[in-house]
Amino acid sequence: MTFRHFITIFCLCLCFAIGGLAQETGRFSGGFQSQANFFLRDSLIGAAGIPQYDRQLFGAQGWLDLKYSVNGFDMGLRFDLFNNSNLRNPNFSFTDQGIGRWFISKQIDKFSFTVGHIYDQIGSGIIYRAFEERPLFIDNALYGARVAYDFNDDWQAKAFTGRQKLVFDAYESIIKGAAIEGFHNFEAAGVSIVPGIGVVNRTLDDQTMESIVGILTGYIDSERVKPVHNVYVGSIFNTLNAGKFVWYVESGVKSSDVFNDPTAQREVFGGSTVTGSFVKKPGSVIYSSLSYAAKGLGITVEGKRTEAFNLRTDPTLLLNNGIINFLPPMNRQNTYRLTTRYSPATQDLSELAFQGDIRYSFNRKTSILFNASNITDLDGELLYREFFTEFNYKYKRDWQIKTGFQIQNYNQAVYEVKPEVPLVETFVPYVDFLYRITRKKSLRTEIQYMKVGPDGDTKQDYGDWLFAQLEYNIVPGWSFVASDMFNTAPGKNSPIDQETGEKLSLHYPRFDVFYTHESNRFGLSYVKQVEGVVCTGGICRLEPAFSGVQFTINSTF
Amino acid sequence: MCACLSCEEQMVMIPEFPVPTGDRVVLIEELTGVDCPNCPKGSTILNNLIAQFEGQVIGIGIHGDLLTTPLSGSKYDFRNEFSQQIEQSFGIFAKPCAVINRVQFPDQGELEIYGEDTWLTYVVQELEKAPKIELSVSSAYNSSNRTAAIEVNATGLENVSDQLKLSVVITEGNIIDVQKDQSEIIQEYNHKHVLRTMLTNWDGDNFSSGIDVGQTVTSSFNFEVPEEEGLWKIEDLEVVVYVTGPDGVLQAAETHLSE
Repeated sequence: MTFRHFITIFCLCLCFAIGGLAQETGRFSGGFQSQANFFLRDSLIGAAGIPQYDRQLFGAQGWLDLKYSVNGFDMGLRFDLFNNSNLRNPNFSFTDQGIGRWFISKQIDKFSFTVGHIYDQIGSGIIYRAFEERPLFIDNALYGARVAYDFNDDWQAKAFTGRQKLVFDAYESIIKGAAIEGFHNFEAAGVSIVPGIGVVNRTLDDQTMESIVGILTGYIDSERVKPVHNVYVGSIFNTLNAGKFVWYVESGVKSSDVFNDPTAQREVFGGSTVTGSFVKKPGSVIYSSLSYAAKGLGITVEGKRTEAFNLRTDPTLLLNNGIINFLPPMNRQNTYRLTTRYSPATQDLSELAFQGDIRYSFNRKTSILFNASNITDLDGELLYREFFTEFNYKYKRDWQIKTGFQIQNYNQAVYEVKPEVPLVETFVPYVDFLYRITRKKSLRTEIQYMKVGPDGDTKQDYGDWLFAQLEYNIVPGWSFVASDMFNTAPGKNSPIDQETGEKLSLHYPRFDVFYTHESNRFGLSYVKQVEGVVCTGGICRLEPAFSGVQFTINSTF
Repeated sequence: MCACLSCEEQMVMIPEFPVPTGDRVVLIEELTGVDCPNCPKGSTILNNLIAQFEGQVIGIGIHGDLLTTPLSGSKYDFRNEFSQQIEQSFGIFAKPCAVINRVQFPDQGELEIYGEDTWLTYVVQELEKAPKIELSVSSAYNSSNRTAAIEVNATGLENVSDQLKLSVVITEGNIIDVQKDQSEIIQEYNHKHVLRTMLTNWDGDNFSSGIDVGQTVTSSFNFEVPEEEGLWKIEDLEVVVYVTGPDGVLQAAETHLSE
């Protein structure tokens, strides 16, 4: 019997046992999510050369979540399945299945404990966040134990220890931490605070340390650093509520640790130099946001400074693997197809970022929004700049229009490691129009245009785009969507016609049918999608082009 | 004498660069590409390993499918059916990466190893293994007809009962052409040990069904070098041979095509 089978049977037995003994009726809940991809090779857009397009043709992933609560116990089990899936790595096929998560927790008066796979965070996540982000194949649950104690209704202390989850296994390094969080209301002054303090420690296992030592053995003497098993991070944070103002501030520090700096220059044997080196430095982050909300008016300003705050369960890991913390993004989280095409990933080694957001509602019908963000590295090199506007007008219940524009500067060389590319400049006007035909039927259209800057005698990156979408909704249940993204003026990286040598103006159409019945949603889509960056909450990855048919199910019970 | 309490951890010492003592020769198949901005660093690391373990590390640059499409300023296309089939057989998903002696190491999920800084560790592990066979290659080049007569000899140092395969690869170095780098496109990049062709199947030819101690197995090949058109410069061509068994490469050897 494998460990996985043991856990499965153990959890199920526990569910039934506790359920059977229960004095009260238990509560079962859960959800099922699945996506099946039928891959249709299209070498013209780059959707080729991976096993799914070349021979497997089909891939799928699914998650079944079960939760049960009874007698102060909460327990859960999740089955994860990946069959020829391109989710873990868009250029690779991944197949495995098993128990992706299990946990049991119990509240005993003021004390509670949880064991299993635990999602949690301290403060805004700057020093610790264990979370799941399925579209990016991130599941950083802590596989271990957590205890918490409620001193009273306002103050709580917690501590945890464990290893970070690695698909169906766990990394070997140990993560442990503790935090105290609270609330205090100064009634006389009309002010309340939500303060907290947290610490986290990561201890490398011997095998990981051997791997780091092996790497450093290859460094010439002058480039060698001395690795340490333990890294300590701490943060102090507070939210101050004072009338119409809310001020959040968090400051985190990290002890000196060895990490991979992809921009560091290193001399190698023979005298040549390479870019990318393991270095040893302490780190810091300071983040603050100030919000003001009055009738019809909302203003938020944010700032963040990050220096050498790479925190992983294993310093040799790359991309989104093994990250222990979460650094909040400092740009607007856009939703439209073209306004999200160039999104900046949070930089953990060197970033100075500011963002401002102003919303004003003239009345219940009309509102406006302005957002601006500016991100540089600590040497002042511009990484990202955005100015975004939105005008929103509702006419009775009959129709609604949202329109505005976005201006961006995007450092593609840094975010996508593309050499000799200029700072991508974009201008994106958009219109989103919703028309209610009847009480049960509505029509929604989106039109966006992206104009990019010049790159020599051609356009930057893929050039200019036009995106149009038509969405027809019938309540309850049905939604039909058709859209096309058209490369109106191809750019430097657009595909080339092999016969003529001309840049191709390609269409990337998409057709969706969604059906919703109670808490079940089914979707069938034909998708042709250009290469691009996909981001969720400041965590991004470069997704290759996709061509195929997708079937999705989302169900909760 | 005092008892001192301290929670400060003991510093880890970095050992001196290892000096191999055996006769093992390690083969590194570097998966690379001209459109891969991180690959120059991988090539530098590989060249360092070849220099640091002189005569005991052999490199082959595999320009298969991923990130190998020639750039707009490229003079040459390094792709060929052999490199593509080898790369496809590894099932890689990023570059640079390397396959070291075609061994899957216990802490690696695949044959290929990502993170070029870690290659040294695995090379050292392989260098510490005693070779099961002794392998040599010689090449007699006739400039009048641009033909090389290549002879491979393998002698058993241990009794091996597995089916053995022999691969013979022609690599070329000192090819000056463009290469994408992290911050620029290098116009005059020196591409080294590029796999140009093979004289056997991409996964090797059957060589021997096992070998006994002291037994010698020989195999011969004739290779007519294509006409020189920027590429196929005789002085830059190497012959790399390696014998593989079920557990990877048993031994490798190389020689200049025109000795």
